[in-house]
This record gives sequence, C-alpha cells and structure tokens, in this order.
Amino acid sequence: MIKDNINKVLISAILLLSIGVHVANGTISAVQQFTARGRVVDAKDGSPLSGVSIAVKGGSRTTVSDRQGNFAIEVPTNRSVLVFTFVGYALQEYTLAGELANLTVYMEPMVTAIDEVEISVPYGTETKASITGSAVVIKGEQLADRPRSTFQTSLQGNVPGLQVMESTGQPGAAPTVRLRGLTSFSGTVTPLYVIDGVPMLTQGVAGLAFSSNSGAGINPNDIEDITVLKDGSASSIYGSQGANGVILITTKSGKAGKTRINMSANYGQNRMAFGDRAKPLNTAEMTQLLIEGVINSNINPTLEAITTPEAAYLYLVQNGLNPDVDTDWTDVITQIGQYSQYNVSASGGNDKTNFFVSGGYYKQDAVTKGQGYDRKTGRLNINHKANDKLSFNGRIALTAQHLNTVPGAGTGQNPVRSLYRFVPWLSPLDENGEYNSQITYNPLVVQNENRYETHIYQAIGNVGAAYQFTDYLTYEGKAGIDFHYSDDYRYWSPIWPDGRGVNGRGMEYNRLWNNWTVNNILRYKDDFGDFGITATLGQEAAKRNLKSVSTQAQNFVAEDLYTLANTSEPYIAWSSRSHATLASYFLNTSFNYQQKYYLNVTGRRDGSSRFGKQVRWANFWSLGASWNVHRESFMENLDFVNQLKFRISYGTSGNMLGEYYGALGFYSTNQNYMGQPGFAIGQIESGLLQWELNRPLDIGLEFSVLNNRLSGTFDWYTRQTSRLIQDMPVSHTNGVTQLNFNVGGMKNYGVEISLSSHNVVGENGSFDWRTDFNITTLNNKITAIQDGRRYEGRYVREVGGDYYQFRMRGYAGVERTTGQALWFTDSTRTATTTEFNQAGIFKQEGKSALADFYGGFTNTFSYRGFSLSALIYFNWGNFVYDPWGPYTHSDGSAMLGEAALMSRMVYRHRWRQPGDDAEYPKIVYGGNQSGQNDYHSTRFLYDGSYIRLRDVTLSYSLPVQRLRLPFASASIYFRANNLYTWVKDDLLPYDPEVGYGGQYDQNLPIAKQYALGIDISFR
Amino acid sequence: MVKLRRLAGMFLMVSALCSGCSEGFLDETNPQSVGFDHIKDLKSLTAATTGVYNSFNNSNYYGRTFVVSPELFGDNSFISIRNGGRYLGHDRFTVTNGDGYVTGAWTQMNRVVANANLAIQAGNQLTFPEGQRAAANQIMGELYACRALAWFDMVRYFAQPYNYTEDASHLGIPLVTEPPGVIISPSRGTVAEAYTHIVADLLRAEELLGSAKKNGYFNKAGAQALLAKVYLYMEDWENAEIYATKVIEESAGYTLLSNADYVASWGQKFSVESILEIGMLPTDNNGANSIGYLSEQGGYGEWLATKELYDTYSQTDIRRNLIVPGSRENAESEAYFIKKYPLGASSRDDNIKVLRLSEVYLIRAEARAELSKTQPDKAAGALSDLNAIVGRADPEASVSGLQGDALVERIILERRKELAFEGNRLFDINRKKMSLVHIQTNQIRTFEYPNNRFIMPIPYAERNANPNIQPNPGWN
Repeated sequence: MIKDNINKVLISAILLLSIGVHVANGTISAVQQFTARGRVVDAKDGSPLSGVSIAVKGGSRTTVSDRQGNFAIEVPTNRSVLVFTFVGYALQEYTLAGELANLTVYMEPMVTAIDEVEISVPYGTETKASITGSAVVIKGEQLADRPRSTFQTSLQGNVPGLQVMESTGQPGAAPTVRLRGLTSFSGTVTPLYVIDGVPMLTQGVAGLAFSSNSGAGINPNDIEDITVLKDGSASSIYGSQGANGVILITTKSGKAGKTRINMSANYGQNRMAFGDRAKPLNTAEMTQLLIEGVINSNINPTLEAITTPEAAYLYLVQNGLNPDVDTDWTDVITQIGQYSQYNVSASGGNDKTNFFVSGGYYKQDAVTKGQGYDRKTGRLNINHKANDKLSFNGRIALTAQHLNTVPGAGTGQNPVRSLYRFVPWLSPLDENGEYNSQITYNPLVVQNENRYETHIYQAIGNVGAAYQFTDYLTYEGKAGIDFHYSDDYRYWSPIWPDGRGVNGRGMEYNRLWNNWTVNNILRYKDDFGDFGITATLGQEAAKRNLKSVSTQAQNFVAEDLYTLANTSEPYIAWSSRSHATLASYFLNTSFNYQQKYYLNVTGRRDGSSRFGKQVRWANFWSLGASWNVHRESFMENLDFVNQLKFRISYGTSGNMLGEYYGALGFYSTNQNYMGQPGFAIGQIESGLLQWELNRPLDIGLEFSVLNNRLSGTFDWYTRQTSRLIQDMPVSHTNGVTQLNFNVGGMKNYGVEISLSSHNVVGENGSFDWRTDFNITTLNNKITAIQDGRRYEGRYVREVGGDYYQFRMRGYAGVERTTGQALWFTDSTRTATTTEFNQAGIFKQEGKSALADFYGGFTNTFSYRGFSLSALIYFNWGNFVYDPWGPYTHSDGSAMLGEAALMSRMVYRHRWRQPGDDAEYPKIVYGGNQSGQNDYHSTRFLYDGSYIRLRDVTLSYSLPVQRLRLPFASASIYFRANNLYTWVKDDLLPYDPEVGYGGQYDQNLPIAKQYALGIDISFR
Repeated sequence: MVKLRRLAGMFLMVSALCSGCSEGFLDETNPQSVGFDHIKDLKSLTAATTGVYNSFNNSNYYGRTFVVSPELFGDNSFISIRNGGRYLGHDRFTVTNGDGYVTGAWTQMNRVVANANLAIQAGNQLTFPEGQRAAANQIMGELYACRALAWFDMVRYFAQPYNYTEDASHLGIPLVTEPPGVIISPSRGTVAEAYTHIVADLLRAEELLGSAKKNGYFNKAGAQALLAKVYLYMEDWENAEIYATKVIEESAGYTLLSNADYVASWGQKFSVESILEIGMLPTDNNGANSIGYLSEQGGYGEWLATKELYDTYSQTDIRRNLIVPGSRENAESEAYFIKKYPLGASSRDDNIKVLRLSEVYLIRAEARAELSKTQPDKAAGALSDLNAIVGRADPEASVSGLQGDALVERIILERRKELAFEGNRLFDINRKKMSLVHIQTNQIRTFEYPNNRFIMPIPYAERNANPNIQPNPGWN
C-alpha cells in the first residue's frame, strides 16, 4: 500500500511538473491533449526500468520513468509514437493503438554486436572479433544453483573439446578434466585454472580423504563467466603451464547503480542410479548358483561324490551357508541422500566503487550411508577508482569444505566393495545385536564406529592496482594467494580390524598449500590510422609450497573420544615439505588493420625449479591470425550474415613435470630399520630432463547468420607433443623400478563443432525454442615411445596406437558342451584354450579407453515465463575395463567366502547345461578353470558408449508485477540430473562414466538427483 | 619511438621491483632426501646400511611374502576358502608373471643389492679413524652379508637349485656388484656364478664382522650360519659341516632354547637361539600386511596349517602347540591355526627368524648324513645333531638306527617340522628333488620333480623393462 501511495505521489509529481513546464512555456493549446501512462520493463526478466528517457516522436515532450518504471507523458493523439531510450537497451518505438492507460513497454537489452562481445583472455580481455584463438565462454547462469559441488562438472557437454568425467559419485570429489585429448604420459594433463588472473591449484589437496577438490572451493554462483582457451594462440601466454588448455574463471563484480540482492534456495535428493543389472543376488539366487557349482565340482572326492541338488545344498549348509539369512546389503549400505543449497549475494556501487559480496552454503549426502559433503563460502570483490588514473581492486573468497569420505577400490572400508562383494547369508549384526564377528570388514562399523572427516579451508584471491600513465599505456600489478589447508581425521575403532589389538587408532593429517603469484603488466594500446596495436608486456613469479604433517596414535582411554590427546601410544609423527618455483616473462602483441585483419604474436620465457640448471629455461611462442570477413565491404549486401570469421593459430607451449623433484637423483630418507634412521635410493637423476613441448595448430571458422538465429563454430585442431616425459620402467637391478626420460611423442587431433539455433523466436513471452549442439571427435596417437612399444598394465603403448589401447587376454566365451571358459591362444583369434595360462596376451584391436566422439545436445523451450531445458550428453566408442570383475565373476571358485558374491550378470548369463550358448562359464565350487582373482581378460572389457539425460530443468518466472510481489524478479524451478542413461553394452553392470583410463574402480556410483529451487532478486 | 622507449624503461623499473627474478629463486632441492655423495663417514655409512636392511622387512620380502610363499607351495599350509584374495596364485599353483607378491619380492631383493653396492663402494673409499675401525668393519661386513643374503634368496626363489644341472650352469640371477653409474639392463648369470658371488661375499663378511651379538643385524655367527646353509644348498657337505660347527661350537652366546621356553619364544624377540632375525616395529607400516595378521584369527586369519603337518607331530612334541586346531567361522569347520606369529592381531610386529641355531644343527645333521654315505663315521654325528632337535621338542623321542637316504629323509622331515612356516619348505623340496604334494582345503595334488613351476617367473615388470633378462623356461 505504501508503495502504491508513493507511486501515486510520484506520478502526480511528474504530472504536476510537466504541467508546470507547459504552463511556464505558455503553450497550452486548444488542441485536445492525451496522457499516455504505463510501465517500462526489461523484456528479458520483466524487471522495471527506471530512468528511461521517453519522448514523443516528432514532438518536443520528454520524460523519464520513475523507480518503478512508471511513466506518464502527454501525447498529441492516441495514435502517437513514443520513443524509449535507455543505456544498455535497444531503442524502442511504441505506437499507441488508442489505449492510453496501463501500457507495458518492453525494452530489449542491447545485444552488443556479436563480434563486440568481450571475452576474458589471459592478462586482459579481447572481443569476439579480435581474438585469434579458439575460446568458449560459459556464462554464470549455466553454473549457478546446480546440485553439483563444482563448476567443473557443469561444463560437461557444454564445451566442445573439453571432457569432464566424474569417476566417483563421492560428493566433493574432483572430476577428471581433459582438454583436446591427452598430451603427456606422466606430466600434468589437466588444464590450468586461473581465477581472476591468478593460477589456482585445482586438485585433491587432502592427505587422507579418498578424493578432495580445491576447485570446489569456488562457489559456482559467484562466477560471472568461464572462458575455456583451447589452442596455442589462446594459451601460449601461459607458456609452460598452458599445454593442456586454460580455464579462466572470472568472478562477479558489482555495477554502478542500485544495490541488487539475489537469494536462492535449493533442496533435493540423490538416489543410487541402481541399474537392475547391478542388483546384488539374494541368498536364494546365490544358493542356486552354488548348488550348481557343487554338482559341477570334482576337485576332491567329497565334492565329486555330490551329484544331486539336495546333497549339494546340504554340503553348502554344512560348510557355512546360512539359508535363513538374506541380507540386502543395499539397505545396509545405501540411502537416499539429501541435497540443499542456499546462496545470497549483494552487488552494486557507484561510479567510483563497486562491490560484490556473497555467501553460500551447499550440502550433499552421498548415496551411501556415512559419506557426504558440505561447503560454506564467502566472497568479497571490490573495485575502486581513486582518480582517473589510479584504481585498486581486491577479490577474496573464503571457503570451508567438509567431506566424509572412505577409502575406495579394494579396501575393506569401501562401502561399494562391500555392496558388490558381500554374500547375503551374512548379516552385519549377529543375533545379539553385536557386530557380526564373521565379517572382517563390516560396513556398519565403518558407518557407525570409525570416523572419516576432512575439512578444507581455503583463501583464494588477489589484490591489485592499475595506473594509467597515458591514454595508451597502463600498468597493472597483482599479487594473488592460493591457500588451502586440509585437516583430515581418521579413526579406526577398536572393533575395526585395523584398530583391533591397538585399542583404536586415530590419525590427524594436515596439509598446507601456500601458493602465491605476483605479476606486473604493462599494457599498450594505440591506433595509427587504420592500424591498431595492443601489447601486453609482463613478468610473473610464482611459488608453490606444500607442507604435510601426519600423526597417528593408538590406545584410546575411552570410547567416543577422538583427539590424539586421549591415547597413550604415539605411533607416527611425520612431516615433509616441498616447494616449486616458476619465473616468467611474457609479451603479447596484437595488430589489426581496420579491425578486419588481426595478427596476434605471443612469447613467453619460463624458468622452473623442477628441471636441472642447464635446461630449466625455455621459450614459448604463438602466432594467431583472424579475418573478420563480415566487416569487408563486399559483404555489405549480404544482410543475412551477421558474423563470419576465419582464424588460424599455431604455437608452442610447454609442460612441466608433475613431480616437484622428478629430475633429481637422491637417496630417500625415512628408509628406517629397527628404529634407526636410514636412507636408500629414491630416484636416479635424469639430469637433462626438460620441458615437454606442445605444438597446437587450430583452424577455425565462426559464423552467425539470419539475425543471429543460427550461429556456430567449426574447429579443426591438431596438437603435436614431443619430448614427453615418461616414467619408463627400468630393470629393478638399478634399485628403482622406473625413471623419467624425455622420450615420448603424441598427437591429438579432431574436429569440434558447435551450433546454436534459435528455432522459434518468441516475442514477449510467446513460445520460444533454442537448440544448442556440440560434438567433438578425438584421435590420440603415440608418435614416439621408447623401443616403439611398451606394455603398461593392461595397455599397449606403441607408435601409431593410442595411449589407452587395451591389451590383455582375449576371452572367447564358453565351450558349449563342457561349459568351460575359453580364451584365445593368440591375436589371430583362431584357436582357443581352456587353460588361462596358455592364453595369449595381445592387443585388443580397436578397443581403447578413449572415446571416438562426445558432446552435448541442449534444447530450451520457453513460454510465458515457463522454461524447460534438457541437456543430453553422449559419449561414444570407448571401452571400460573392470579390474574387479575377476572377483565378482568368480564362477564359484571363491566358494563360501564372505566376499564371494557373484554378480547378477553371472547369474543371468552363466552356462547351465550342454548345448547352452552362454556368455559366462559354468559355476564350479572351488574350481580354478575360470574365475580366479587374476584371470584378467576381455571378459571384463565393456563397450563404454552411453547417452545420458544429464540435466533437465523446468523453471517458471513469477510475474512479480502482476502478483504484486516485492521482488524485482523471482523464479522457481525443478531440476533433475542423470535422470536416464542408456548404455550400449548389455553386460556392463555399472555406470559407464569412469576415469580417463577407462578403469572401473568400485567407486561410489553417480547419483540421480532431483532438486527444487527458488531464486529471488531484489533491487 | 619515444613511446616505446618509455615503455621499455617502465618495464625495467617494474621488473627491478619484482620478486623472484634471481636464478636462486629457481633452486629447490628435495627436503626429504640426501645426495648420492652423502656417505662420508661412519654415521652416514651406517644410515645407508640401515636403508639396506629396510628392504628386508618389506611385506613382500621377509615381512611376509618370502616367508609365506615358500610355505604355500607344498604340504605345510594353504589359504582358507574364506579369504581376501591374497596369495591365491601361490595357494593354487597358478602364479603368473604379473603376480604382485613375486614382483615385490624381486624388487626388494634387487633393492638390497643396489643399495648395498652403493654403500660398499662408498665405504671402501673411506678411511676411518682408529677408534672407528672395528665399527666400520662391522658395517662393511653387514653390507656384504646383506648382499649375499639377497642374492641367495633371489637364486632360491627365481632359479632352479644348484644341483638342477651337473655344473649348475643353468639360468641364475643378474649379478651386479658395483654401482653402474648408468641405467643397466643386465642378463642373468648361471646359478654357479651366483653361488660363487654369495660365498665370496660371505667369506668377506665373516672376516669383517665382529662376534658380538647385534640383535636384528648380521654378526660373524650370522654370516657363518648363512654360509653353512649356502654350502648345504650347493651340496658342499664338507664346508656346510665346517661352518655349522663354527656356529655351534665356536660362537659364544647361542644355545638351543629349552623345551620349556620354546613355544613362548615365538611371541618374543631375539631368543638365545636366534642368529639372524629381521626386526619389526609396529611403526614399520606393514600393519594389515604383516605376516601375523595373515595367520591370526584376529586379523585376516586366512593362512592355515595343513592337518597333514599337524599330524606329523607326536602328542608330546612341544612344537605341536604352534598349530592350534579349531574352526574358522564361515569357512573350514576343521581348521589348524598357525601360531608362530602371535603378535599379528595386536602389535603386528612379529620378528622374522631367518637363521636359528636349531636350523644350524639340522644343516650339520644333513651335511653329516650326506657325508656318511661315503664316510660312515659321520652318521653318529648326524644322528646326535638330529636328536638335539628331536629330543628338545619331545623329550620322549629320539631317532636311531637310520642311515643313508633314510637318515637324510628323516632330517628333511625334521626340517619340515622344526622350520614350518619359516619359508624353507619349497626350497627343501626342490633341492632334495622331491615331488611336491600340494595341499589345499579341498584338494591334494602332486607335482613331480623337476618342475618349471617350482620356481617363480621373472616378473613381467622386469621383462618389460629389461630386454636382456631371460625368462624362466616354461614361463612367459
């Protein structure tokens, strides 16, 4: 009510004023006057626009809209034309159609000409026209309010060339991120993350946690945009760090004007995306398998004598199978996890100072009991102009992450291992309600008695100053801090096997990453007639410091006490430090002619402490050129072309050793014996070990046509990497088992296509439909490797092949009459053998862990405030190996062991009787023809192709004006992640999204997530 | 041009202000290491030697694998049907060249040699002050003895026994005696060459080592006892007898445990008859990978004794108490628990007894019994040595009236009973050319001598890295 009154007062005042003007001018005419009244609002979000200039076309009357966007203006006729102008919005002419009251005028935010859109690039900004490299910009809206802990996973399917893989469903875990393939054998392979100009450590930082991610310390809601730089022209300026691409994150800044407050709240649930095919067998099903197994078994006279199901059953029961217990380990281990997220931010400022401040809380439980994640974030970004020349800026984010993780893979603590391995006739509790002592690694003890706590505290930010000497020369200096402190605690209860006998053990691990970067930059920008030059000359120094402290103590005085002060026996006291430094100089120069032709030249000189003195300095450079065809005069008549640009870039960048001291030779200490300190060979020196060299070539085409309704980008890229550092196996007689050499070479090449189409353009809330599509092909080839070929684990690395080409024994199915497993004797796949040790190990032609192509397909529909968008992610042509397959497909050889559960796939596809054309062999109790723990073969190699409905969002923008809500805007939405996944291989029991090497590792599965949310904005 | 000059000037000014421009900024060394030139005095030489011993207590060497594996091949022990997948290839006679335990043992044995080579070379270039000379000799002697032990273990595990061919000319092990200075890919020498090196090192060690007991480390008696065992494997019976005698009769401080103390000694460290024992501390990190954790029911408890072994002990044999009959939950209803590593469920720091005086008696008994085939007067000594062990374990028992092969066989049986679960069985079977009776819960199989599978494959990891290393026949 008060508001309305104020409105009325204001309108009256305006009216009075305008009348006053007329009176003063003495121009009251006899002609009838009309007054047009209405509101002017943003066409995008319906928010009122204040300060809009309104004029009558052909007349002299003008006015401005008030704070609620209301206006009133006298018009000569009720058919007059009103002209609305406002900074940042397209000029709008509005023809009165007789109506004079309750007009609503929509103003379209000004679309900057597509090629004038600013793009963040290293140490500055460029426009879409001037950039000569391949860059993709992701707006903050695509990252905010997602149920994912890190922005990285929201990039999946949205950036051509960028692969993001979640190999675990552990909330807060670091995803695997690779840009344009794999460039290194043992060096860094992840992109460089730069936040507000400062390189940031984005990896696991904790000492005990199964997985942690310093990148999750950035609240996605604070991100303005992300630029992914993919080629040499874009990333060479980061020299030795740029070989794997660069991900530039820019956080939000305030804008001059009214303070804007945004609030959002999300709530949802996570469920295990439990395919029917991975459902554990129950006791009846297992008994059925084992009865067959006992009948089939003749490993000793007792078993040989058993031929009937009754006798077999009796034998099993006598040997420990309890038919009366049927534990569903799914109930014991899994849960429906809760998810919630709350964010609030305020931004604003005036022409001298602007600010952005935010706070956020994010919480997500895993789909397994006991694991979860939460995060608290705060951010303050400030810019201040002291005068025309001098300005200051500061950005700081403070974050506290908290994780509950348990060790993965084959450890007894891994709940997923328990889930897929524990037999159902064991119960986690015995009849007295005590933990069942028959289970060595009881998941209930992990849940209830042990402790796995990780806290990560982060401060990420920078302070800087800029001084403009002249209109063409500016200095900028910046000091950045990238600070991560992890605090891990683990407790093994006296009930847990590892804590037994020592009366409980507690562990406190701390890691402190204290990284800093300082840079000094001079910017030069000038025009000489048709020629323009911009240049950036800079110097940078960075240091990474890691300190780790580990302590363990045992023998606790009482239960429910956890700090080590409650123990009597110190067990481990240990600390270590490591440091790495990098010093750099760089120059980036861009020339243009009439802003049609651009040439970009970049050079960088880097020195790193990770290499020996003779080779530690290296130079990197790049050249990029672009031609903005649409700015040519001959294009003037082709109106339908809004943008057409060709670009090409080539250059070099380097890659460092992942290890800080990987080039040194030394004795490692801590090789102790009988309590005495000792040392032994740790590493043999590779004195001339030097930078890996990456040479990316990119040829691209960007276009936008038909009023920007169809736009797209084509890129063809190839990256040659050489001097790859290889952790080459050496004879163990050297005292080490491997050593770093610059031996390898690789080539990654492919095509990236992205298309955006505005299929149906909805005006003023009518039906609107957009489609975005992107696809990336990826080819990886080894061009050099020591001896031309290496066998490493289950891969063969050879010249001409890709890095993740599988090599193992070939499973040949089942002998129809006997039900025995068969393997191929050699790669010709002609002869088979029933003896595993006679089977040949050979390259599995065409089966690699690398995808042939992947991409995303997004459709967004909107209608009257409703919006529905769906992202489909696809990944095709890769293979996935399950190294735990021999355990879960034991074919009865594991007998009645606690971890002898067989997979549902065995149950469905086993051989039962002569003539069966089965996938898997017969069950033999205690057999050793198949099912041994180390019988790795293609039996466990699956086609990893899948299509996933990854992100579905239905949202509704509330008509805040109509509902008279006290908000500038408000929307509610429902979001579902990973709703449906289609997997090509019928035999693959688990989710196909595993790490880059294509090896499944009994990690927590990716969850299906459902969430409801609300966003509100005040102005 | 003026602009450019100003620009350059300003940049220089800024650069001068910057941190980290000096070359020293880029010099970083690993704070958890010392350089290869670090061995400069007795203290650093001692630390290097400590680093050599460190490999012995690795869980893939004496810490577990090298003790358990030779006992799984054969009739002494097996892995329970309820197990965590450890050592199944060994238990089931299906080891592959990718076996992690075998690979780990290979790595650690070679690590001993490589580290000992560096330390020996450095040590030989040092001169020690008079007051340190005895201590320095002791350390140098230990280095030679450690290297010999690693070679001996390697040649036992990865090569056929000395007597496999007439002149031991079959494939042995790579023999690297000096730090190579470059990365090497050596081929394998013959078994004869390996034994020549082992004997030479041990003779040198015998010269250098002091006689004082040094718990957890080699002393003179340790080198002599090992030498006796080496000669025994070489079937050099005379020298085996001589060296066993040196230990039994000339070394002070070693006596056989009494019947009363015997069982308890397995829960203790460094008994009166322990000549070489690998020391374990709870902090040595073997933890759940410790040997006792594998056998104790409070741990994995999956390493079980065979009933057949249990039945070889008489009711009154004190050693029978080191196998406890019981029932393993959800697995063998009738199980025999190994109790030689009783700390496995608590502090998990059972020491590993590598050489005991009891074995030295049995070495001499066997040497004398073999000699008695041509020198009948040796038989009495053989019997008396054998009875020292038999009678200690069971005061009511003694052996008499046996001679020739029967006596040797009886001694080998006594080795089985006395040294059960200590990592000797496979080697005794192979060097005595016996067929191997492989006992598991559910099946008994017999493998005939000679057999390619009585020795381990050269690990895939080595074959992959070293083109010169020859695989063992019958293995890929």
